Amino acid sequence: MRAVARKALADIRRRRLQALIVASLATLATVVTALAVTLLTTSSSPYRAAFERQNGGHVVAVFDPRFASADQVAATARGPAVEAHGGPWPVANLPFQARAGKVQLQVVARDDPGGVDALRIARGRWLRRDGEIVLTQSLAEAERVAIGDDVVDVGAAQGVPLRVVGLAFDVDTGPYPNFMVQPAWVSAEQFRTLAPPGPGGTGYLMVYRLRSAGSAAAIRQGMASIRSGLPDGAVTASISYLAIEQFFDLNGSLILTFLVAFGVIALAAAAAVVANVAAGAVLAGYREIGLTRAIGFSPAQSVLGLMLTILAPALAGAVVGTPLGLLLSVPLVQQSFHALGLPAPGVSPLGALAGLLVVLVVALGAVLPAARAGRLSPVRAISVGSAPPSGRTSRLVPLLRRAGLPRWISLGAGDAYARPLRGALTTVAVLVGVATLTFAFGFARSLDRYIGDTGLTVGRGDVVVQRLGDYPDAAVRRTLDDQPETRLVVSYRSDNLDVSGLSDPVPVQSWRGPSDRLGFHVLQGRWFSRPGEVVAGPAFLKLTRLRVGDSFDASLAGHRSRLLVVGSYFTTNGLGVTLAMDWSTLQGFDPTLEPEAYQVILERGSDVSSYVGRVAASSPSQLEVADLRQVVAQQLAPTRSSVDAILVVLVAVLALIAGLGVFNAVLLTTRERVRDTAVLRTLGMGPGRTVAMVAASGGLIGLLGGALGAPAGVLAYLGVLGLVGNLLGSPFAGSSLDAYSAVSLATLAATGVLVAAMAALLPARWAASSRAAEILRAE
Amino acid sequence: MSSLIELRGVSKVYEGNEGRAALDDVSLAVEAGELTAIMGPSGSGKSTLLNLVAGLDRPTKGQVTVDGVDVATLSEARLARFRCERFGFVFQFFNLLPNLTVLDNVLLPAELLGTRGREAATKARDLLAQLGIADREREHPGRLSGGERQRVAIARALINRPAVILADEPTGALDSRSGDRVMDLIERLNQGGQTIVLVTHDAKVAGRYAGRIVSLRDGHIEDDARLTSGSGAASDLFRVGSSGAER
Repeated sequence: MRAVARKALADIRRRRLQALIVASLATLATVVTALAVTLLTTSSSPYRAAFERQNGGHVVAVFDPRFASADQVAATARGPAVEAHGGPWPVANLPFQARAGKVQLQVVARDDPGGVDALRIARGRWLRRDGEIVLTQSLAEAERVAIGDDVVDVGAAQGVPLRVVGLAFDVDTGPYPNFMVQPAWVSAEQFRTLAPPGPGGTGYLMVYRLRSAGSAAAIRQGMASIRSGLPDGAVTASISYLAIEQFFDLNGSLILTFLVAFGVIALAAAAAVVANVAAGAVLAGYREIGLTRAIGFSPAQSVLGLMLTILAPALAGAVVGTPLGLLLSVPLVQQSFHALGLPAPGVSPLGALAGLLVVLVVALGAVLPAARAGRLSPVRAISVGSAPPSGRTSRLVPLLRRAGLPRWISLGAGDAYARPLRGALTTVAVLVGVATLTFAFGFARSLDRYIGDTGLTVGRGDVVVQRLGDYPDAAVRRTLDDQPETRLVVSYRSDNLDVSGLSDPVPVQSWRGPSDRLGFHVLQGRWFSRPGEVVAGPAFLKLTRLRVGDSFDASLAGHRSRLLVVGSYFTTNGLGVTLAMDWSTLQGFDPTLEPEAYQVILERGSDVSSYVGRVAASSPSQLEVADLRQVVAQQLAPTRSSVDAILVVLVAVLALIAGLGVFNAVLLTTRERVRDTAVLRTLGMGPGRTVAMVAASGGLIGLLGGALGAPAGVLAYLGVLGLVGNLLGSPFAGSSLDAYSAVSLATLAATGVLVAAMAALLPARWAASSRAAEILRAE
Repeated sequence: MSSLIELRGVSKVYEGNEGRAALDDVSLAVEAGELTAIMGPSGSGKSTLLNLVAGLDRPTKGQVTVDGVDVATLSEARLARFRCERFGFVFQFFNLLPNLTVLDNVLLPAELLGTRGREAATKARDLLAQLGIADREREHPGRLSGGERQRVAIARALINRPAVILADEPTGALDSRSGDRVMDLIERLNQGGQTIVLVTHDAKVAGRYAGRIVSLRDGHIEDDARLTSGSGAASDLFRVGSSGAER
């Protein structure tokens, strides 16, 4: 055993380049695997940990006091499905001016932060007196509000400043800006001064812990039990902890989808290249293996020796790659934990196992070539002196020559598959690299388009105007109509519809004006055009088992109506469980309701920021005016930055693996062909042509790998897009995001040639500068 | 009149050779049309001399001139082209490319020089016919005998009508009968005016075919003798070594 280890160590020292290639491959594969394993093991636990820690409510519900009194709401907690509860707390949605701009807050009158849905103070303290307010940490960080700042209620109770005394984690609401309306807490006495007069502007907030809440179905049953006995319209909104958990995990789930898929691919690509390295080591050390066998190494010892020369550098690479991968995972994991006010976890022990997994995969890649070393006949190996040639003349050479390529190019390219297995494995590595790049390009482009095409999110528009408090609708319309750049104004409001058969109200947007011009993507049927018609998000149809053309009953504000589904549209609002309808349909429920916001399309070439400034100046305190695209971009910024970071890591890793694969293959081929190259140089092939010849062997692999990799990347993109669509509740139609063109696909495929040519350059230059005379003499 | 090949005070020291010169202050001139044999024991500097003449290596000291051109002044790329134009190579172990057919192997130097396909192919076929292996043009070298392979190599060496053929132990890997046939071929080429520099350790070959024998030992020219007649008898040798002409 000592002899085997000593020989293996000597071989590693002698073949440093081979060891470096294996170590680099192991490092790269370990980084991606450690990242994936860490996220896999930590992504779902922080929310659950925070939820249990804070005694979170399985369901949060808001009640309309016009249809349920405080006593009736309190009585719902005595139902058989409820284990514990918090509330009823008075609640109202009010506009506030914060440091960076205006925000809508769900102000809750709550004196005690404990009990069900216990609020954990991240910074500052809980309320002690009137005039104080506690905000959520996610809102405060995004809007740059600090302890001690004042936020001013600009609604009905005009200009009431409240001092921010604490920042809290509320596990029963999602993070800002995914959840634009964040809770904030004031004392009960303070609430009375803020709340708009009359029952319509306030509600009661209840938080329930249910006896059975392990699944969405159990929660729906629990909610149905809570609502039983209450009149229609009593529950205006409800959300379960499972839905909130989905939002917290959304980023993580997205990223995890990439990492798991591409982590497996990275491992496979690394194994393919290692198999080539090991096979090359056997071929290069053919005579030497024969000699060691002749002096007494057993077949098993030959195999073990070769495995050690591969596994030792792999282990070193894994040792370097594991902390790197864990380090890269820190900002991603921290994002989720920070949002929940939890300390970021330490190194996941399972993440540390990633390195062992990679070493195992490397061993699998090397075992077959190593077994070949064990089967070698020592006599034959010594007498022949070198590995038998590939055994067949390359059919590619005459084919390429007939294609009109110069001799040296056809010779070099013909070498690419002279050893078919080596060529195939290297092609796989390039294919994977190009596929990853193609996927990343498509996904990043789609994300850009998703952010840029507001028809996929909030509807087309240049400017959004929010009407705060009791500022008159007519005044907003007048202001907008007075601006010369205004081309189209469509206003809307958001409510929650009680849909028969569903325990939770469904968000609905009601549009006043030609909303069909806002560019929403209709997936099935058509946009609504008459009163009583609705379009639904796909997840709503799936949940209710309705189809386009079906009708259903719904109620709002105590009024019931029959609605007809005329179409389905792309929306991620409410994860696809959402509806849209015309203003006339809303008026059938409650004619007193007014729009909350106005979406404005400007004339072409208008200066959006100047328009925004002008409109805001008309009522600085009661209008929140913003560039619509900027609002959407801000909402999606956290997702965008995480996805971009991961894509960069994936592309870099897989491209490097591809490059190493080609480098190794070309190096092996160059060494095997060293005599032929020396002959050609003797006959008069200059250095430039020598480089071109060697690079051509890599180039052909790059061409084929690229030609196969680009469509493979498109397939991966479509597959992941489908998964993302499922996560978000709306299927993505590939055409709606339009990620690829013929030119872009051709360019992506061509990157295979670029990577391969660059990887082949160094061996090519070595071949061009080697001493032909010495090589020919050495024979 | 200047010689076709001239070495003036050429020395070559390889790195790691403990300062020992593979060639030490060698001066030699080869005239056009000569068949010069370079002889000497192993390590005498024969291959080094051939490599320096071919521009495959550069001298540590001195000057190598071929056809009036100092090869040391040429860049690698120009040297490669110069080599392709001026030299034909015949190696001991043939050095044919196994992936190419016989015809393609012969065409290689012409393709490197940029000769048009049809013209080069016609020349190649003519050469193969002259060498009696026209019927093997589509075969790969692995299917040929040693003698046939060497004839292919000779055809390859001739395709660009080089000024000089450099033959390094051309019969070293052949049986005696094949070797004789190859040497007869080389002799016929020389009789037709081809300048040939032949490296060999075989005194019989040198004596029988060469018009001049340069003997090397330990990097020096030990002897340099021209034959006065074609008979090759040792007594007919006319020495032109550094000691001057003598009979």
